[in-house]
Amino acid sequence: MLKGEKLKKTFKTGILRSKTISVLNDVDIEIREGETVALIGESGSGKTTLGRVLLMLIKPDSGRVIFEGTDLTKLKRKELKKLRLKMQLIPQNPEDALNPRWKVYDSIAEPLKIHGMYEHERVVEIAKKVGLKREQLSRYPWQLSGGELQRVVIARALIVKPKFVVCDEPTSMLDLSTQATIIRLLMKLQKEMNTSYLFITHDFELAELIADRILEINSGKVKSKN
Amino acid sequence: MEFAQGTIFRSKLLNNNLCLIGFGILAFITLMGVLAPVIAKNPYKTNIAERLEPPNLKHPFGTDQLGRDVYSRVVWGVRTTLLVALTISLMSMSIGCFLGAIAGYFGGIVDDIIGRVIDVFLAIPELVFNIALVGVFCLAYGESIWNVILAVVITNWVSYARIMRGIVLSLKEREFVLCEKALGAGDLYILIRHVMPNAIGPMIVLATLNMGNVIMTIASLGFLGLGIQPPTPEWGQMINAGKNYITTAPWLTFFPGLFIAVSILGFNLLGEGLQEVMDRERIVET
Amino acid sequence: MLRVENLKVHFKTELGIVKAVDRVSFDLREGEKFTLIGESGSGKSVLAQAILRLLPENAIVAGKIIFKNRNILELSEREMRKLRGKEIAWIPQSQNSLNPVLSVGFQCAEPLIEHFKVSKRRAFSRVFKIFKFLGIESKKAKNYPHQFSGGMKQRVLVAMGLSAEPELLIADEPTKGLDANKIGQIIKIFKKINKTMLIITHDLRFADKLSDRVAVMYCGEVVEISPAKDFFSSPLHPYSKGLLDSLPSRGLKPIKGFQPSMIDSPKGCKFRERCEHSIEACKKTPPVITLNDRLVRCWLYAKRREIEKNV
Repeated sequence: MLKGEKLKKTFKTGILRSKTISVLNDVDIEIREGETVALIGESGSGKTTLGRVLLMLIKPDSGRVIFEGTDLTKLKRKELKKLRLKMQLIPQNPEDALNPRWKVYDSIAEPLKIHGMYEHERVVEIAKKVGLKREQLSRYPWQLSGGELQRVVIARALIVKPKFVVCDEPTSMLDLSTQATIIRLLMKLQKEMNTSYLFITHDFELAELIADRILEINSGKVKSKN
Repeated sequence: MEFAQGTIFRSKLLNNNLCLIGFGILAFITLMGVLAPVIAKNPYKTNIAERLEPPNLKHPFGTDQLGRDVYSRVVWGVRTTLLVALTISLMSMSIGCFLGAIAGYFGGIVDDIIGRVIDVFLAIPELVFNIALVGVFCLAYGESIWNVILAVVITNWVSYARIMRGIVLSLKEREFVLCEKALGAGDLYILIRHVMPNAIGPMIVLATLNMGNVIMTIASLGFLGLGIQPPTPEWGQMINAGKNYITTAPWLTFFPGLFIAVSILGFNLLGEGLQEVMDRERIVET
Repeated sequence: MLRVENLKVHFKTELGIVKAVDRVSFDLREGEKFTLIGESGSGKSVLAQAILRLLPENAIVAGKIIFKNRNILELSEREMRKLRGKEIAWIPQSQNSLNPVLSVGFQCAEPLIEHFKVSKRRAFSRVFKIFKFLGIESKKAKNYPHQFSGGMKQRVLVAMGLSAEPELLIADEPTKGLDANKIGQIIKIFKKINKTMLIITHDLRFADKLSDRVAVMYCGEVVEISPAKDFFSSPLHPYSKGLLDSLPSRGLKPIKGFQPSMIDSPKGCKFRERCEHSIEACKKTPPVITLNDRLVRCWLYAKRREIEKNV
């Protein structure tokens, strides 16, 4: 369903932008429909970059990202915008992932509004699915706990029923008992919606528990790990 | 946790002495300006028979060299100064915020161009630049109040742009901006709906603190004879007219000077108070 | 060595009184590694700050903290300054605690030179020794914090804490933001340090590999104190059990419900509403029950007679 072929990405650093760091080095990756692929690696190994490249949030230097037969790297802005409905991101830090000035309801409804398909019922339905109470929808992000915020973020990502979701360490900022709740929720929703996950984490035990396959990224190379 | 954010913010504002004092001063001065027709006489009426009278019951602030009532002129001057200062601030804030936001958000060559322009403007001393601009405008378009406004706006937007750029630069790294991109939102939409509203707080503080500067600049230009032209009552220009009589009739310079000082004080107190409240808010958040 | 008796730390805020630490008692034995486990908002960091008297001014503190027969809470600020660093050292949570414009070697030696009047040469030789002990090359002492990775910065922080040879070392979330293998290195280092340590963490796996005894905090209260081995094989308190069961390796079972707000937390047992075993008695404040060398604050372990008396 989603394929990354020979992906390369380098960043320039240093005061004069003279140093080049190769983050992705000819990465090949494939994610099939409905499966969970765990991507593990140390900090700085490029796992977040790979996730973002697959979503075309960062353009790769070379290589192709093929999603359901179309090469995303060759798409125009507008065409890519339509495909965004099918690919979503759940980032690491829920406290940072929501606009602090927006009420929770508006944040969840936003993807629908951006794509001109807003329906109040859908917002209520997804909120119920992720376990948010009705009165929480009219709150501001700072009034919710980390776990509740992550539910909001999940609701916002899944309201458009995406086929592919990158979960970028979605629980690393959360408490242990909350982590279990959120992971269970993600797994439940995946079954209901038949979504594929690329689950980025540095926790091997967690990866083993939830993933169909485990990939390890190390100095820009991806290897499969059993 | 059942309080709305606004309620807490308001209660903090009301508990902040700086804010309250600043607001009180400004409210008083603004009220004077609004009520000018009621509480003051005609500021243009000359009366040679009563020229250079010291403060007395009929003329609480005395009269000037043409026998005009200084009190009335000062009170009407509130209108001139505040309206002009407000216009300048709003214009420079809109221009500065817009350019700063674009520079910070898009980066790259846009940022380079706007950044260099900002640097150039910062390198020229503000008042000197203002004087030159007013002079050029006068020659080109004749005398008008807009000369002063435009000249000050041209130098003033820079500080807004610089601060806005910095704020946007840090805001665009926040994850909610990344999420918006992932949701398919366009850059302009993200900038206007998500980034700029989150920068508005510091910009309001800056605008308030900046009002003091603007008032000072207007008065300085007036004092140099380049600002708002007589007979329109304006504080700086009144001081200029009164400076020849400073030993014999000090009230001509004292009262406009007092109003300049107090209104600047008002804006600075309010601005610092607002800043304090917002800083504390940020500490609570983290 | 260190004894905390009935410690309370409350904060006055606009929304009400936050009971960050409530009725906490425990004692630290010479040479042991004592871990305080808790989730965010459990009050564990506040507790550590209270021991060093580093709390903000709006804190209301009651109870006793006895360190070497002196009550820390009654010491003057001057005596306290002497105590900090020299007798009780603090390893801060954030790796940003290092000053970016000073070399790491100097940062470690500075307190020795300034506060303890050790000569420069002796101070640096001691720092080099500690660096060697912690596996930091001594030539790196000249480097600046930004040249270090997260794991190395954490080591430097440990070195700073050790430099004045304190008797008690308090480490606040030493694994925060570190990867699994970096955490492994920190564990090795901590094991090598032969000092009494109070470690604050939310990382159960880290606590498991390191500690002699653990205390679990929930909503400002210590709910269980056990030797680490017993704790991880058979936790007593229902919250401890829930916490362990939510580990991926133990089935990833969530605890139902949410942690109550610190302002109007429920009366009686604070875990009652989330607990599977809650009984009528739980509406009253649970007693602290001693079982051999373990302590638990739970009605389930009270004698039947006692429960009946209270209901």
